[in-house]
Amino acid sequence: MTIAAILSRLERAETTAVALLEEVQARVAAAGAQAPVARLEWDRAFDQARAADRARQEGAAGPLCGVPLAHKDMFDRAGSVVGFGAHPDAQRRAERTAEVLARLDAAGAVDFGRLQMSEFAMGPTGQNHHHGMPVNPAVPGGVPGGSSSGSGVAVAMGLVPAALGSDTGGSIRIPAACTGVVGFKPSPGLVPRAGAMPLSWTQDVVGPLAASVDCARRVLSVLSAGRTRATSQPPGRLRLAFDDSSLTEGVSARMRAALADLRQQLRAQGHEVVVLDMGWLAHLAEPANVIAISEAATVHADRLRAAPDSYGPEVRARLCQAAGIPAQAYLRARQIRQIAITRAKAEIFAAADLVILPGLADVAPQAAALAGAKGAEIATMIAGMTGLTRPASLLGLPVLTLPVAQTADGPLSVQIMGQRGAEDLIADLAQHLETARRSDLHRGTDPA
Amino acid sequence: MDQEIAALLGRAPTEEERAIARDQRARVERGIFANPLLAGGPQAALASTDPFGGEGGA
Repeated sequence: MTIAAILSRLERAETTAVALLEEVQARVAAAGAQAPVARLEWDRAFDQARAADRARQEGAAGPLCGVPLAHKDMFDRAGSVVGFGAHPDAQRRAERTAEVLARLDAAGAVDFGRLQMSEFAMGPTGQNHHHGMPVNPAVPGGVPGGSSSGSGVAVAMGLVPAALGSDTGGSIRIPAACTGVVGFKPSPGLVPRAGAMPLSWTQDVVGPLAASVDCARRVLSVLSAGRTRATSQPPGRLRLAFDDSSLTEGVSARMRAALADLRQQLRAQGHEVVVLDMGWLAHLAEPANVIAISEAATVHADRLRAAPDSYGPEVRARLCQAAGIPAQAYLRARQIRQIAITRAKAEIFAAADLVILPGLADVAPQAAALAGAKGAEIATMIAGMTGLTRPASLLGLPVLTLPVAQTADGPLSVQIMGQRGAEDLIADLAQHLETARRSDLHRGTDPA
Repeated sequence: MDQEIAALLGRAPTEEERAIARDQRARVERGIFANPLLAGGPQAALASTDPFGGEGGA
């Protein structure tokens, strides 16, 4: 159910926040081990739900009043235990509440708990050495994607209309693409990170995974304290860039077909489709990785040295990569980032308002195909899953991941990215496309 | 390389951990020091690029 539908039921007094939370509680119980939860906090959530019902009766309902939500297990809430998807020894009780949770609380949202994630937000598949891998409801046998694995699965299962995630190299966008939901990675600095687990100061952002574009932008508007619009506007006539280069040459035939259908649809809507050679973006993958690993190894320095074997082998392997990164390489990577930001403005955003790239090369990979990766193979596997998402992380671009086609094996998604601060324009186009696709699905004319 | 890994982990590395660090060092050579985006720019401009300048994105 979407946020708009939930609010409509509440406004018409067809239900209450408490009754909605009871429905969610029943669905979580029915899902059993399939529910991608790390820790449930029903007592506090019912207190929030009762407060939401009172606020609505008093005419003081906030924009998310009574809407049940849950979040990646990496955000502080005073008095709650935060797990980080890590070994139980890493758990700690938070003394403060993350600014993003405080903003959702103030908007009236009902936060019932913590969702599974990759260990310390490191890992694009969703596999977790300590806690297993959430089941992807959209792709049988497929990975759920990570690191915001539980957030994507919870939305795809219909447990929540939206859930918070974080994104350093694709950790909102990859699970969104794997599970066929919307993921919205905002510009760095738009959403506060205070009280959120750090991984890479240069590239970390917090944003929503959601059941629809409308759900995502309503949540983002609250997270950004109103700096982005919660409502859509016609996007106008846009110049939309697609890639024709080595960056995307490895995508599947069906992804290629979905992109062709999308270009045709956009032209029919009056947009100008621009085809650019963006192959140079592929040269950003290693600088993005070097910055992320160097900063992550610094975040984890004390714990890693004190208890290296409390980390799962995949995460320990990635942190070990830092031993192969001299300080000069980190600084060179930062220089490459500055050069690339300038080049993106001059070459891409001078020619186009927004860029559309595949979310993944194909549908979510099968878990069995990735399970055997060990040691240095892990770096190759990670590079394969993040090659299309890392450039926007390094460039600091806002990106929305949108499902655009459904195949027999799962959903196919694209990334819509724009310049820093283009969240509203991105969401306007995405919402327009989503509405058109739902109309096609309703008429049975979805191209996929 | 063993010293760098030991500084990270607080113990001697395993052979697999050595292989990971060596693999990353090779990736750094290819993807950072030989990155075409560095080669394409005038050296003077590159030398003056502040790695921490302009925190904004594109």
